[in-house]
Amino acid sequence: MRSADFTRTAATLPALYHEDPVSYEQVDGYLGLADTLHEAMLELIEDLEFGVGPDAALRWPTDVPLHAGADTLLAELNARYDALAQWFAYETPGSWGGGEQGLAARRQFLAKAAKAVAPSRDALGIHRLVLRVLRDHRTRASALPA
Amino acid sequence: MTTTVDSAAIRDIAPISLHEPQGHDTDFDAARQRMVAAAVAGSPGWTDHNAANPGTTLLEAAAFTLADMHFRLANAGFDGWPAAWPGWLDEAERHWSSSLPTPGSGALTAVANALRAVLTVAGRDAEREVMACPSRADAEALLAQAPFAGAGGAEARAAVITALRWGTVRRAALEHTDLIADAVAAADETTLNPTERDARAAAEIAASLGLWPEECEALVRRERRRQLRELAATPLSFDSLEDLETADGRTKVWPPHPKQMLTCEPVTNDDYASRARSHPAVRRAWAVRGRLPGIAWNGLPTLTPAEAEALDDHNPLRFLVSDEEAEAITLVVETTDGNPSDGELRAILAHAVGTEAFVPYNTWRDGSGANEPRRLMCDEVGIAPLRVTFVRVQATLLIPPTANRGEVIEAAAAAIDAFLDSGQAPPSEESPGADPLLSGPWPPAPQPHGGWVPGEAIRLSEVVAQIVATPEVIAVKELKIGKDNGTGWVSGANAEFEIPVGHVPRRSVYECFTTEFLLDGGCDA
Repeated sequence: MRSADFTRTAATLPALYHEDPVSYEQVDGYLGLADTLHEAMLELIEDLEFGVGPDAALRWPTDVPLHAGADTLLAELNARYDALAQWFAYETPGSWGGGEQGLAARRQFLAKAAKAVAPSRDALGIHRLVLRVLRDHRTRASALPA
Repeated sequence: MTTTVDSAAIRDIAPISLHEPQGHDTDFDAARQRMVAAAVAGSPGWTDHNAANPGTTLLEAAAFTLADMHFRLANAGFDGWPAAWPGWLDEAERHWSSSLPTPGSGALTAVANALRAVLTVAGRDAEREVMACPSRADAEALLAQAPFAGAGGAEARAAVITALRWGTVRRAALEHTDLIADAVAAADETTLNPTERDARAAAEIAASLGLWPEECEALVRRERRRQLRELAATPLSFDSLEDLETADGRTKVWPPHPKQMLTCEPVTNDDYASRARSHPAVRRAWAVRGRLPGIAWNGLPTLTPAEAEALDDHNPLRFLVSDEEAEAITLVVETTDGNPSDGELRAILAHAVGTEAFVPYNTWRDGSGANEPRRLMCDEVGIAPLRVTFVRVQATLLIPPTANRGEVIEAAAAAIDAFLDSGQAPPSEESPGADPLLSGPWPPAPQPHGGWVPGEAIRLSEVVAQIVATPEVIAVKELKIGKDNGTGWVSGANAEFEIPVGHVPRRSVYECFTTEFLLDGGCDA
């Protein structure tokens, strides 16, 4: 039988803490601050391709508040894409700008660049590249003498 | 000038090695110990560290959650990831729940600003109010009026609602994974079709969690994807990999198991043919080796050897010469109208492997789709129509004296025609394009049963079997099959008449049957 992927911290408190709904809600809200961080981390693990791939712009970054506004969101996503572009030894030109158009250009570059280096050009991208890099790294590391 | 190398110094140089990152993972005891130490240092006035102390209880609860997170991180790994990124899906379908607008049109900026507008309304909590809405329609109505009218138009408003609800949906997915898995498993035990099963599971989840129907459908999608990942992460030995692949190396499962990345090619020639068969104008299609006369990969007509020879040595068109031995793949297609034009062939080729047939040599700046071209790097894929090779069949039919000679010859010719038309091989158990265990980016397009396989030789023994199955034909002798021009005859019980690659045979109009009356017979003959 499958278990829950995450249990709220307050749910692990002794039963005594659950007796008074008002105080429990306060405690839950307090511990929930950390829970939100944990949930965001689990989301990132589960959907890593939306964190470090061309599709990152299709998801709201887990570390950007919803009220941050377009400037903050675009800056975060552009910075993320710039970092990914460096995997291909590529510095994104300043002419692309930091707005939504620049984001679209970066995204297109990453999608095409990943296709260019991937061993297969169909339906593959950075995802497979990431897997290969990680596996190669692990293989080489395990092959080294202790 | 010579340089003296100090071998001892070389030995002292540490070899270059990869950095192996060390995580900060700790178990519960270590996390608790660290947290207590930090709490004591930061709060000297807190002196009661007994287990019954509420502060200690909260600290231990937090330490447990942190240790649990460390455990999950340590076990996340990447082995369970399928060896494919679902790029074949529309952008709106790539995440199990929802997606932001595609950047570039200004819609993303509009959504982000709309979110800020509704979340900064003084005295109101848009997130809490949207979460309390019983349906999306109610949430739409809420955000369409003051003071939340800053949510913008209907499209931006829908994205804003989804973003505001995301925390709730994510929490439900993480905290009720067991309930969702049970609902999906219960639905799978029914005899419903897959769509109905998912709908039933979503309805059950909605009754338990109180989420909106589309959110419950998303939770079912997440569970389905988790099942795929678990299947992909199934521990396998290399011996059992053959269970995942057909004899020609084609994967039976999609996404392929990660270990298959090293042992098989998930994209085979028949996948190209399957893509071609999914074109509405195509009845049957095969992928054969060689560059057959037709349309080359770049949309240009192939050349005959003589035409290629006449070109300048540096003319790249010379590489488009027809050559059955070329390291290329040709899609041989049989269309519904039977006589496709070059334009129709290009359209089918573009449908199968992408728009390179129209725009070759494109770069990453081009506007082609994320999945184009749909071919492996270095695969040259062209297209050719299914062609017909006429053959002469010559034989002497032994018939009884009572038989009508003309009718017997006509029946024998019809039997051969039917044989050449329907093909000699019974349908294989696993026909090309058979449904994979799991659907992937290329929907299955199975080859229709029947019909001659292009390039398949005609075995004379099978022709004999067809003729003698004709009523009134007692036996056949002197059977020969040759080309339509009267050359290349083959004969003999084990002989085979070769059919060119990409061709199917048809009987020539020449009548070559003769008959002999068999006057004796019976057991003593």
